[in-house]
Amino acid sequence: MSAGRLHFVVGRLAQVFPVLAALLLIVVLLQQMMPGDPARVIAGPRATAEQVVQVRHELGLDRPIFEQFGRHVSNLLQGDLGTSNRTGIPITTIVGDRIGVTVWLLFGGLLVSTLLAMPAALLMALRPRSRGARICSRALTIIINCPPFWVGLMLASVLALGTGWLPVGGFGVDFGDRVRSMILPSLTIGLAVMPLLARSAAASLSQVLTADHVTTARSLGVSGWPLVRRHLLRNALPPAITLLAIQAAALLFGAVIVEQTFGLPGLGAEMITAASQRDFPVVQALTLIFGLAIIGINLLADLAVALLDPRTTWR
Amino acid sequence: MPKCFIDCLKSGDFPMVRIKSVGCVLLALSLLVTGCGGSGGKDGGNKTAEGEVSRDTGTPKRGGSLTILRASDIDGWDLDKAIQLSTFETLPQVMEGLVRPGADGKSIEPGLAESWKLDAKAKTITFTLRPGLTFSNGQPVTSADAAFSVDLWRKGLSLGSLYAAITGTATPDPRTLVIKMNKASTFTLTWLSNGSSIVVPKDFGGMDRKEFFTKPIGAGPFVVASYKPGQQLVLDRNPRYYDAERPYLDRLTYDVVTDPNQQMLRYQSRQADMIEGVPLDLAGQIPENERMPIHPSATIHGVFVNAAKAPGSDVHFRRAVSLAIDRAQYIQAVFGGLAVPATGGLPPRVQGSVGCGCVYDTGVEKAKAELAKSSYKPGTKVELVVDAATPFSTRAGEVVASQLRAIGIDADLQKLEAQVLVDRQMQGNYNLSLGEVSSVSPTVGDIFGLIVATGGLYSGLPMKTISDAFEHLEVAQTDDERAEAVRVAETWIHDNLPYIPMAFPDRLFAVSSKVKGLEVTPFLSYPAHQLWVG
Repeated sequence: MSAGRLHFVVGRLAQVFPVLAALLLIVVLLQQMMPGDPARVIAGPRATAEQVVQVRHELGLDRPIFEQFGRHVSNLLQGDLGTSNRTGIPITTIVGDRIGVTVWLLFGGLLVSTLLAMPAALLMALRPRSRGARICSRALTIIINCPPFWVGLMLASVLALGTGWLPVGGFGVDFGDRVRSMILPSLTIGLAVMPLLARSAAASLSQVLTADHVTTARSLGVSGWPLVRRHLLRNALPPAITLLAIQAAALLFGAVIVEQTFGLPGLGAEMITAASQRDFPVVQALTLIFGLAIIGINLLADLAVALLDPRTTWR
Repeated sequence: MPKCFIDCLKSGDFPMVRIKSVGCVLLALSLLVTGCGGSGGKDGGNKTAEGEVSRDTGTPKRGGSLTILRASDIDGWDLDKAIQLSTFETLPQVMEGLVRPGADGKSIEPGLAESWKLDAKAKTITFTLRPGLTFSNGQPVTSADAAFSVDLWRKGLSLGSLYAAITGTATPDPRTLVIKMNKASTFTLTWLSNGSSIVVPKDFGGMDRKEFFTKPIGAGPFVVASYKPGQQLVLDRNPRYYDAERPYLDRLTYDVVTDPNQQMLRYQSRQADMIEGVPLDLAGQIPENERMPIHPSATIHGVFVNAAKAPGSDVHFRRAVSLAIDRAQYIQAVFGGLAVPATGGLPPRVQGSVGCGCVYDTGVEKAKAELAKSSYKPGTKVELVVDAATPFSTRAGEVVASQLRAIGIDADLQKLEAQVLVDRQMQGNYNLSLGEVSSVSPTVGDIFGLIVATGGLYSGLPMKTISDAFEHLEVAQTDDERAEAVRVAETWIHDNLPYIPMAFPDRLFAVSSKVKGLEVTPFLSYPAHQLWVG
């Protein structure tokens, strides 16, 4: 690896720490900023003011913010995410129960969006004036304007309820059930991010198509799939990876909606429930996990780009 | 004790005590917001005697399983955290209490206790436990376990005040439990049938409280096979249940599905056999013969008033608001006709629901005249806060705002996230809000108690009259005495309007033909051990 790329990798890794610290601070501040008193929620409507104060004390919510921050970080370093205010269950258990669903959904969504976006991008880039490209472009416009919850509802109503081939919701019990139950949610979330991915990849490919090295390759008689594979995709890949990382973040938040729509017991659905019940430890833990996932995905994408593109340097 | 339903937030589900109008949440919620409304249909279930709705007849059969959808999960297994109606409904399925509510919504029936005797003079209730009772782990159930449980109830942070009359217990023998009280509280006896008065092993069977309520053990008809909070609860038949015939089901699964459309899809695709609370908006999607309405439920839907500050502090203003609301129109617009106009400020169809013969009148001109007597200055904004989470509650807010504007009140409709709404209500930072409270026991006393505990549902008005009436209700020995105590409270509510009752809304269960043996009380409790697969 060249010195420039190594410098990039080190610099990018170092950049993670301040972002991480900011994330932790935000997570701790979250409960100060969110409306709604968790102590009141736990104590119940009949509780006296003194009882609410007692609960607040037991939860440590009456401690100075820096003390809460320090304690939070200390617990995290020991792998302790805390326990749910509502159920008393360790948050690691809650996350363990639910993360599988969200991971299935994200991978399914990425797979669907990539499988649909790449052919569309190639068509629009290589045959921009063709009828197929025009249809594709209009279809993308329509899809991008359809809200995911509506798409999910329609898919469930038409493809699942109408035919009985697929479950309308839930996560199933065995592997086969789960694969079947993830088809529609993956399609929903995949369709939500696919248009942007397809258009961006098409634009990137179009740009590469006009590059000198492609003209040279063509003049040497390279065409068809070899041209696409060796000279187009490879050079269009770095921006596509960056976009994919951005899309992964969008997928993560899209998962919140899709999990609700299909009644999937994932982290997104848990986040909504916890927030509505002011279960702050769970909200904090999930915010941290979502934040870490986004930081991690973007870091990996940048490192992948550095690996693929020798021109990458740290500036 | 009441529950509110904020939830209906999304669902209307068992409507949990959501104050949010009705998704989840919280207690406080309990007071807040609204119910679920919409259009809907007619009866599907069979109404029996007075009150309960039951489905089906026929000879029960053993075996099989049912899947029930609910919009909000239980609040956990710890009895003192019970807020949502789903919790009050579910806890006794695993940890049965001494008595349980009858399906008529007013009576109580034997639970773990086969009989009881209230001694008014000695101020005691003596319970005799059934012979041969065991917990699901095989350990015998004794009066010591029951006495330990009574102590838990009394010390509850949230609900303990409802057991205030209890001063102690005695256990003369393993099958006899004597509850001693500082007054001959008939209310206490009835209240013991609510879903949080459950019996647990003494000293939690050697575990600490937190550990025990993670994997609870009881003497109810079911045992917990698995529980994933917020997702699914699976109950299996308790082979050691005292009734050898019951429960009929081998397995009962509760799936928590918050999205009402997803609920409907699962029900229609037969992934589920029943929905505990269908948003009234979606009633039309349920085949008529699969609807089981609870008409009306033991719920009060109304406008909560901040009487601690102007203009709500002026009784003329409160009366003007009450007169401005055309209840028939409101019920049609908000509940699709699935409600009845409120005839009192306490829930209907439970023990002590007698009303007061008062009339909550309506009329624009009368309202304008009453408003003219008040200190309200035209043009002054009056904040009307509603839960933003559901189309139902926001629609209800729009209807009320429109009716208030028609008499000259400048209603400022604010759609808030449920917790924000609760916070503002508790801090007195509002003028008017829409909300509901529901009974969770066969007595009007639990709502009574809530009104006292919350200062008239956060109105800020002194509750001396209500508090005194509650004391009379507590010790009422006859229906007449009970009715008299309730009339005093109802009359005071009517005259002073700490909140403005508008409707007693229906609740709706969707029940497939597979579900048999279902009987639902007005406060939405149903004994699951009676269910069987048709």
